[in-house]
Amino acid sequence: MLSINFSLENSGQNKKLNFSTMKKTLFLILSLVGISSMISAQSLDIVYMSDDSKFAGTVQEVSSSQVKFLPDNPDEKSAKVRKIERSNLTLIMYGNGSFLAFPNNYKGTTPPPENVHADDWLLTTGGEVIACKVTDAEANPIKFDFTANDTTVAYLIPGDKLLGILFAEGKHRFYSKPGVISTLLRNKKMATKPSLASLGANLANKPQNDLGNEIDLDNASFEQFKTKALQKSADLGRYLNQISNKSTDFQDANKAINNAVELFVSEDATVEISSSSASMKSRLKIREYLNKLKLLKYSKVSIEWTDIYYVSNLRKGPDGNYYGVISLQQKFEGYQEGKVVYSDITRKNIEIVLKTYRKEVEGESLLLWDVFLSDIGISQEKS
Amino acid sequence: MRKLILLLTFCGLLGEVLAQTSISKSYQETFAFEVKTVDEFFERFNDESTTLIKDYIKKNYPGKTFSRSELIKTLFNYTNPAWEAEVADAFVKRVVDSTQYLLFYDDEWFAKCICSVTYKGKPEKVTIIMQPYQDFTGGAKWTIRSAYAPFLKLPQRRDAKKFLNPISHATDFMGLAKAMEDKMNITSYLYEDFKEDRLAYFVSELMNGNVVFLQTDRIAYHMLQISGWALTVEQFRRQGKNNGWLISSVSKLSPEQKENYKKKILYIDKNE
Repeated sequence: MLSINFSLENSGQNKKLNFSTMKKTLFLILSLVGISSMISAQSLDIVYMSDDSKFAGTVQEVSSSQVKFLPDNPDEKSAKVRKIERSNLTLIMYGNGSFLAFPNNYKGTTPPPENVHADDWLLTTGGEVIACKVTDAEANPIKFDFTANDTTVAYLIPGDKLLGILFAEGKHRFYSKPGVISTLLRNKKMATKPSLASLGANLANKPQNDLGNEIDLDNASFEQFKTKALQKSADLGRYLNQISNKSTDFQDANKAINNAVELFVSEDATVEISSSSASMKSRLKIREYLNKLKLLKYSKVSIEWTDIYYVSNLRKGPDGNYYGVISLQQKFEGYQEGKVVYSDITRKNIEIVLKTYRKEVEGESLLLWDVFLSDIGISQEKS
Repeated sequence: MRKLILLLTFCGLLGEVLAQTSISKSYQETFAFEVKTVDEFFERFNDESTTLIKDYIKKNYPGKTFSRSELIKTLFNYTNPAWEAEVADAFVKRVVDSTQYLLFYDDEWFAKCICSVTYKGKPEKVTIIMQPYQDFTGGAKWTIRSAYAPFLKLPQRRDAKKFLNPISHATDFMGLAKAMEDKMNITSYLYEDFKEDRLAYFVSELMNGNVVFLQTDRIAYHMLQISGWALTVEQFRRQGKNNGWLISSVSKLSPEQKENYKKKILYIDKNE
């Protein structure tokens, strides 16, 4: 029987969960992060921990709660079997080429046989796995042969299009964090011939600043993106406060409107307000919305945000910009003569556009980005 | 040092942004548990390691964790459910055992939008089916896949007495003028295998100003990408832990049944 939802009664192991490090899967290459490259020592198993540290040795058993691991130690007398909580592991790369990406339900004393691969695997920033034969891993672009329908075609792929390479014989090379690789391997999509054909045909000529389908920022960069987006949302809140406050001078209110509009990607950004009590939504362009707000007659307004917010992954659009959403909860109170005369709690879904651009700094071309607000959906929850 | 200053600045700003509020704990909890977007639905369905809900539970309910199976079960709508418990159980077991995941870039999922429009000045509803599309650069967008409304239907009448006679060519198809005036029977003059293209008709009516779009009223996501199964995900706005974008129905479908589902429910006919 399907039993109900978040009862919060079933205690389990306390997984390492930290929202401040959320979205490890985000990755921004080149100027935004340093590319980490790790080439494994082979025939040994490599375990990658949640904190990105790694150990070489032999995985003896994967049980429901722990992994028994014998570290490689030149002084074998002092080698002791370590028991590692599954929740502390990101990835195991076995010496025979198999792998185990966490979280998973696998248990056993041998590497998962279904993850052994006869081909080399290229893990792309687009989230795909290309099963192929790498012919030159040291070159950039990397050279590989892809075979389909008994026909082999040679392709090139720039290094910055790759998150890693898993070689058939067991070696591997990572250009990104193990957590990112683990996520890709858990959600892997094997490249098909048609998509590979378009990829291969375009790879050589593709601009080097192409960032893949979903940006995989490392933790620091994602925190920057998140903070920047939240900061712009907070700035908007402050301007809303100024604009709708009766005591604000008319000229200052207009200035606040101009400043608020500058937070947005364009004047076409729209605010749509829906309410469970009304069937029709109201929709206004941002400047129109702010101008309307200026006419409110509150002597004072108070705008508060909760400290819980949702930030989505960033997804690449056809225009090369990246798009995401922030969900926030906001309380608005309008005062007259010191008393609250209007109050509501709203949920705001704010579209965020991350624009990338190149800037020449001391003769070096740097890839930079900035965040802008876009359309806003406001759902009224309580009046 | 510059990095440190930058970091401190960010931390300071974040602190300012996230000041304590007077919003009640229950509203905050509803917000935390709400599946706020389909992206968040995917994150929970796929049991991603770092999500808002896991962080919230860790902070507020120390020691409580969920398996993927339990997490997926929280994604079902439990108020007046339109799904059968046994079927839902089998679905959850299937996706967990076979480690199946939902991705934005999957082919077989659609958003069915019920929209308000005016048609020739009168309020009407149009169903617009949206589908994600990814181009060769990896850029993605939502595209309009089909549209349906009762008023978007061409006259279906085929009258055996209405046709252009086999010698019409001899008069340089003079009969065409009469056929074009006979609007209610226009289908009778078309080739036998003609199938109307509702989307083209909708766009045409939009272009000539007969249809004016007002707003999207309701959305249901139809997810057919999991082999052998179809899911419907809809938004349930209410207080409590079971709210937001939730599975409103789940059913077992063969490939043929899925094609039929697309045709009947999503107005997508691969033969059109």
